[in-house]
Parts: sequence; C-alpha cells; structure tokens
Amino acid sequence: MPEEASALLRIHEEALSKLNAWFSKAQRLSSVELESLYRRHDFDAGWRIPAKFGSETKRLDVLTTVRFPFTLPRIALVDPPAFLTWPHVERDGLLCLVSDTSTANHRAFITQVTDLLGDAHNLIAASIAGTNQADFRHEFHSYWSNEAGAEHIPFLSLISPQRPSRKISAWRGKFRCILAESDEALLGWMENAYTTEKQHEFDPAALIWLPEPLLPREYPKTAREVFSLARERAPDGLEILQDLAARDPKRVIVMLAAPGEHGPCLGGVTVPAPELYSNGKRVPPIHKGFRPGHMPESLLANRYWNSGTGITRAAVSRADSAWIHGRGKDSRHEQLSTATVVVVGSGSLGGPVGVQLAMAGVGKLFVIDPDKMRHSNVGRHPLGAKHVDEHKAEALVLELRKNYPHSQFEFRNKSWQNVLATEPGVFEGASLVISMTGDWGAEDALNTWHLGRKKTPSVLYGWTEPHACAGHAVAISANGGCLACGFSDVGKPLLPVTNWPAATLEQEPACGTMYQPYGPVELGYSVNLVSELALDLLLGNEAASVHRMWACRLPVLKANNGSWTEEWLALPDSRNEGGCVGVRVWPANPECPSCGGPL
Amino acid sequence: MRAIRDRLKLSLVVNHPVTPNETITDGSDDPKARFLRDKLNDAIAWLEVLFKADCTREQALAAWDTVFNTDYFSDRLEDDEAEETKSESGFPGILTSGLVKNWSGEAPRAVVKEGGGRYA
Repeated sequence: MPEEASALLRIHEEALSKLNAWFSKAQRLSSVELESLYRRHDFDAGWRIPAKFGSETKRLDVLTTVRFPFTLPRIALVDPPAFLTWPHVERDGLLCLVSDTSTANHRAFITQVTDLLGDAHNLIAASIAGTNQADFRHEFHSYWSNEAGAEHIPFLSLISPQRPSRKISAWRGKFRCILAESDEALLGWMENAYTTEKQHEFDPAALIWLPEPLLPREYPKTAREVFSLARERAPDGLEILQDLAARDPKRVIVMLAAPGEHGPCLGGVTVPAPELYSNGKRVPPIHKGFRPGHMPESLLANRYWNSGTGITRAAVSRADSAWIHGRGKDSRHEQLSTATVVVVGSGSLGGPVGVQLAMAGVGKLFVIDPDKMRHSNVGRHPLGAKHVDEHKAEALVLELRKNYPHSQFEFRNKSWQNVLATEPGVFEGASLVISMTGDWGAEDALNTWHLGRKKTPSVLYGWTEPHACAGHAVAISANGGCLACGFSDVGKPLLPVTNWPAATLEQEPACGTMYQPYGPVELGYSVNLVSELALDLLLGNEAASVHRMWACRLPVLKANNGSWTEEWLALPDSRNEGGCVGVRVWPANPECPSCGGPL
Repeated sequence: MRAIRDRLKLSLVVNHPVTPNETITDGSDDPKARFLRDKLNDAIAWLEVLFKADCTREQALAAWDTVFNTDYFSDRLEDDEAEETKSESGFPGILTSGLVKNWSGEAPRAVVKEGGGRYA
C-alpha cells in the first residue's frame, strides 16, 4: 500500500479507536448488521445509542466509513416513521444533517460526533413537535420525485417558472419529457441541442401555478386528485386541464409549480388516459356509450378528470436560460438574455470571447469570419482538431448551439464587409459589435461605418500585443473618441504597453504565413479583459469610449525580452511589476483624420 | 526575525529593492526602522520559550499571543482541551436534550455547516 494511503488508514484507525472508547457504553454494530441495515452505503463501523425525547426514547445509529474522520459520520434514526412523514429522514432512516458545502475540524473526532448528535436530536425533537413540516415545502424537489413510478420519465423544463397557470408545449421521448412555453421554443431548443432533421411531434401540456409547494401528504395520486388540486388552489388552471382532456389524448402532461423559499419549485405529473387500468381494475373505456368522434368534449374531460387512474410523478430539472445562467438569481440575466452581440473574427481571441459571452448568458450571438480552422490554430482555439478545415464561424456556432440550446447563434462564413453589404440589419440591430481581427484595414473600415451611424451601437475592439504580454479592449461609444483617434495613420496604437527590441512575428515556411507566438494561458487574460468590457457595455456600466489594458507579470515580459513603454508607465494604473489592468478614457483626437475630434 | 533584527543592529539604512542607489529609509537613524528593530527585539525575547526543551503547548501558544497581541492562539488550546475533556468523559449512555445543551456550550463546533468559503 502506498505510504500516503497507509497514513490515511492509520488516522482512520486512530479515530475509530478513540470513538470506540468514547462509545464504551453504546452497542457496537456488527458488520452483518451494517450490511443488512444500510445496504446502499459502505459503513465500516457503527454504534447504537438510545436518545430521550420527553417521555419517548428512540434509537440512533452513529455510522462511519473508511474515509472518517475526513468525511463526517452519518446519524440514522432506527425505526423511522413512514417515509416522507418527517423531513430530512431518508428511506433507510439516515438523517440529512449537513450539506455538501459543510466543512469540519478533522482532528476533533469526538466533537464531530457530538455536533452531529446534537443536530440529530434537535431535528427529531422538531419533527416530533411538528414544527419543521415547512421544510418539505422549502426543499420540495428532494421529496417530490421519491417513490416515482416505474414508468417515471424525468422532465426537463425550459419554461420561465412564474405565474399564471397556462398551456405549454411538451415533447415526450423514451428517456425524458421536455417542456417549453410554445412549440416554436421547443423546436428551437431541440434543433439546437440535437441538430437532427427528425420531425418532432409536440403535445399541449399544462403548467399549474400553485400558491405554495405541496407537502407530501398533499401529493396527488390520481387524475381526480390532480383536478381537485387545481380546483382548490389554482382555479385558473381548470379550463386548461379540461381543454387538454377534451382532445382525447393518450396522456396529459402537467407541471405543478409554486414559489418556494429558495426559488420556484417544480414537479412533473403524467396523467394517463383512464381507459387503461386503475388500482389494478379495468375501468370503463372513456368513450363508453358514444361512437368514436361523437362524444361531447365536456363529457370527455369530465370522465378523464373524474377517474381514479393512477398518475406518475416525475422529477423536473430546469434548463431554462435564467437557471443556467445564475440559477435564477443573477440580476444581470434579464439584460444579457435580450442582448444581441455581433462577433467579428473568431480566431484565438474572438473564439474564446464568443464562448465566454455564450456562457455568460448573452441571448444571441452572430459570429462572422471567413477563415477556416487549421491544425496550427488548434493549440489556442476552443475548436479542436475535429474541426480542422471547417469554417471557424460555422463550427463555433454549431458547437455553441449544442452547448447552450436555449440561446440563439448565427454565423456567416464571410468577411464582415460582405455581411454589411448584403445584410446591414445584422449590424444595425445589434446591442454591441465586437471586432477581434487585429486587422487595421478591416477595423479602420468598421470605424468609418460606425462614424456614419453616429457611433451606435457601441463597437468594442480587442487585440493583444506580442507574445500576448499585453491586451487591449477599446469600447467606442457615442460619447468620446473614435477608433482612429488612438491610432497612427498606418494603424499603430498610440499607447502600446510593451516595447520589443526586434521583430516578434514568426513565419511558417510559406509565403505570407506570419503569426504571433503565444499560448492560450497568457492569452486568457486578454480574453477576460475583452469579455468583461463587453458585459459592462451590455449592462450599461460604461457610457463613453473607454480603453482598458492588461499588462502581464514582469517576469513573463522579461522572459520574452520585452520592456514596458514610457507611455504605459506614465499611466496612474501601471506598475513596473506588471500583473495589472489600466483604464483610461479613450481620448478624442482633434486632428483625427476619420472624425476630426469628438462628435 | 533574528536575521532582520541583526541586520538593523548593524545599520538602520535599507536599500530600495528595485531602484539602485535609493533607500527606503530616511537617513542613518530612521525612526521607523528603529521602531521595527526594537519590536523585533521584544518579539524574539518573548519567543525564547519556544527553544526550551520543556516548552509546553500552552506556553508556546501564549508566547505567540503576546507577539501578536491576541488570544487567537490560546483559543486553539481551549478547542483541544474541550475535545480532550469530551474524549476522557466518554458518552454517558443516553442522549438527552440536557447533554446536547452541555456539548454546545463546551467548545466551538467541529462541523461548520456554512463551509469554509472555498469553491471550485
């Protein structure tokens, strides 16, 4: 056994030995008892103790695994009440006392146990008194899907979980049921996620909005109970349920939703048509007494929802945009999800910036780049070798669609000038344009177009300096200088951060194949610099033209034989050690050949 | 600490770590450098106990308390003692609300539900 592993075992045995001595008045559980009582777990030691609650005495098991004391012991209630009677009690009696984020002093073996026994005692006392029933509501998701039927198919929700009750759209596959606000939203998501040409059939479903999450004893078990629940607590959902049943479906899919203490709570329900079986008995066919297609819809609905047909509960996972980008609690989401960003250039800087913006929750990205992936790009581009010879813009967008199917992604494998000529609306309708081409010709032209539009929307330019030792993000907005104000006539930035004693461009053994040698790690700082400014612009945190610069750490600069420029060192944010961000107003140049100074 | 104190005993002038021919002290009797030297003298004297063969954990923690003008280190001793006390007394045979109350008053919790503030 490796020495490290034996050290862990030694500590475990020492802890176990101390715990065993401490529990000298308790009953030690045998390995047979541990195996038979807690089959799903790998406990290696356990002690049974009595615990007093008023006049009542209960029994608790203290259980450890071989990972103790680095993993906390578990406490179990022996002979627990029926499952879902008390909160935080699992089916086998184990108590949920701490979350995954908890931490502990691993040297205080005994105090770990006394802390947990104290928590267990308090939990059981509260459960006996009935004062913690609300926990069932607060942690609804943990309880709802327990005891789901054999036909249980988990639900995936793309809806925005808020009132009122309404009709939604569902697709039911073999392994999951997906719910969205409309057929169109569902189709868009599925086309992004699966990129197949397959035709999907959608069914209408119901979202029933309840005033609060249900307690386990209130969980509906039959079609009749689902309808009663809506009648008593969500009258606005009754008409929807009746309408769905009147279509004579094979099943009705319902999502119960309610506002909870920690956010919206969702529970899935599948109500099969009552002509099958109910409680083991065959029930009369729903159409009894009528020829096919001649049954009044109201009667059909009535029979559907009055039946004792058993329903299936299902766990619901959220995959809507608000949940994915901040678990429903990121105040930036609303603004970002409605933004459209045009990304010009999806190379080593534009590619990862596009990915970051998609991850941050930007609602629509439009990626423009005529270039194709080469093997030489693979080392510093989010697209890997499998995309070599594909267009960067198209390959990136297809990946993003699969990874973030709730957002919208478009691409054009053309130059931005071509797109502007044929589809000017792409630029005019954007919330922000980001140019990361590092090409003065393209960006001088973009600046000229931008000036013609009185510098709206904002355009963000991003680039790196040699060896990615410095990065720049310049936002040009209606107030302040234009891009050309900060450049020489031939496209040299007037405020570089680094100086280089010799040419830094390298060349492949071919004509015109120049490249700048840097890797993805040093580039990462510039990627973040551009992405952060993009978010600030979208969120309205920057009103005027602004320039942010990243300077690498001094040892990195020196290792590449570079030095800081005097202009950079003159800025108040700069420091010789590097590893810092400088910010300044992007100055308007009264002699700018493009704008002649501020507009 | 000793090396810094000894260096300051030799001279209170400290050169700039980056810029040649500049100092970060003011003259040959810089009051801040003198203050640092005196404080180091005090701390080294207080920590002498650490080098004694029979230095106890309690004495060591108390010495560090003196240096940093805190009781942080001695508090660690109380944690250990509480654990030791619990360990020696053993589980009394039955869990009661009174016992839980006693335990909670004895020492800081070993289990911290809100976690350590590190995320990955």
